[in-house]
Amino acid sequence: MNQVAEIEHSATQRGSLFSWVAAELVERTSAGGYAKIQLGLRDELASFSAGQFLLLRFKDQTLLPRAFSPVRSEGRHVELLIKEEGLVREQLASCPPGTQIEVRGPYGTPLIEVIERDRTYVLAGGGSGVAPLLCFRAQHPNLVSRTVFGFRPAGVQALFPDDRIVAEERGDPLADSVALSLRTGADGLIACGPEPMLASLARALPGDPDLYVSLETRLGCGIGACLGCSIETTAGMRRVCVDGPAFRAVELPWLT
Amino acid sequence: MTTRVLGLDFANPIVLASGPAGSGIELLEDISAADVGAITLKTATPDPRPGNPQPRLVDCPSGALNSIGLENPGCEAFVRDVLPRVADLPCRRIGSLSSADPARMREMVRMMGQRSEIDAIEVNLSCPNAEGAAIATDTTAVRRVVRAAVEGTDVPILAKLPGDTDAFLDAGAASLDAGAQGLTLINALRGLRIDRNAGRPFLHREIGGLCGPAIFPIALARVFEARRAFPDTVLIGTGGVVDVGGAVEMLLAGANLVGIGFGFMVDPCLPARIGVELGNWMAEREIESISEIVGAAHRGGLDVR
Repeated sequence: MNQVAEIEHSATQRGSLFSWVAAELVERTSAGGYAKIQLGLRDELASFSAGQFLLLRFKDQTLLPRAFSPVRSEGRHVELLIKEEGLVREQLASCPPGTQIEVRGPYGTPLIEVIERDRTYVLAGGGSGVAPLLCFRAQHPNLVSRTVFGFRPAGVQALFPDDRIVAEERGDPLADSVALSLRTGADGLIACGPEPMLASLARALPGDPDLYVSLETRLGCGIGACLGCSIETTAGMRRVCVDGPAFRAVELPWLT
Repeated sequence: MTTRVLGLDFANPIVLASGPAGSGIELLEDISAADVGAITLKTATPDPRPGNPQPRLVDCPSGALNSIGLENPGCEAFVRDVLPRVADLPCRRIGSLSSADPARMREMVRMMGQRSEIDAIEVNLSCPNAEGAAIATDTTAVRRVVRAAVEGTDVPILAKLPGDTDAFLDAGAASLDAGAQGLTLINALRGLRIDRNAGRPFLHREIGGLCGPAIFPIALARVFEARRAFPDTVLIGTGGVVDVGGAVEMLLAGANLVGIGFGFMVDPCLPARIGVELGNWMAEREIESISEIVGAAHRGGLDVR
């Protein structure tokens, strides 16, 4: 084994989070401008908890990697939900099965470590922000009271045969009022989606300590080193990639 | 592959450049810090800085624009809280400081330079992302700030120069005249991306710093020109190196040490891997010393020994 292989091998042996793991696109299902993507990995990732994310790149591509919070990440299998727009996501949406990809992670704080565990939650997802919420529901079904998912384009319903989808061609893609109306006094609300949607919910529930938002801030290194994703919080500057991606909305005064 | 620079032994010539790897440094033990020569820490300033509002990053072909804005807890807190965390890293540690005020620079250098964790200090004269931080075009200001730094410590002072001004050689000469022992070049280049759907710049601060392979040929040319202008000065060549080939070119152009920034963001294991691959590259060519490579492009090439 040469020295380079040795470094990579020892990193894998240590369960290092920093090495890229080879993967390939196994299957893709598209509908309404979104795609569910199944990846097969050469090696297992460290254990994954809902709300965490993986970084992904096409092999040897010299762009910053992209962060995805999977619908599922178990063993050597990862399922993503992506919107089919943007440089890397368009490539993911069009490349043939067998295409070589690389993945590293998981990174970020698990959602379960951010929220209070003594109540149930309405999960409100917008666009690809639905992915971590599907994962959370699968891992913690007893903490979920209802779910509502919103997408701008119609036709996405085909990807979610068992879920309630609010697809709207115009206006606010997530019917915030639906999410709010589903919430009873005891429920908290966990939202993941585009910032305007999170801001809208934060404005509707000012000062609510039980509203959690998962941010889609552009990440750099993903491991807390580069500060590309730092945001202002009531507790000072925090890194979305390490301290988040989920925060209590009341910690983010700029959101409203 | 040990190389002696600034009177110090470096395990190899690969340096984690200031910025991308400079925070969260407790992670570095896991990414083979033993396989890089040094880390340059994130830039500290006299007062705490929150950095720039989001968005701070956007893609570019073969690179990225960054707009971090020197986020740091201030030099005093940095020295107190961050330096102890790098004490055990098995590589050299280079501090990085920024201030346009000579008195405050002297004060910071005194604070940092006396710490055993610090082997050298880089004076950042060229951050493109913070108001008033890019003073390299004013040679009088450069001379004052660098002199203040040199007066404040016994550890070697390096001046970090911009790449997007032809005056960089003047800034380099002013820095050396003021007592700097070396130059780091280049900083990120000023660049812009506009969201064509929204019709607005992507970054909150609009103009950001372009890094990554897109700037490699520019960085290489600056290093080449600086080596020609300052034959005996220590140079850290930084800008777009993402593979062992790029590192070799930087050495050939005249860099004594090679900085890696963007490459770390993409792949935290990359700098260590390049360090090892550089050793393999040299062994294949029976090159025994880094000094045989450094500046060879100015001497007629590698075959002329």
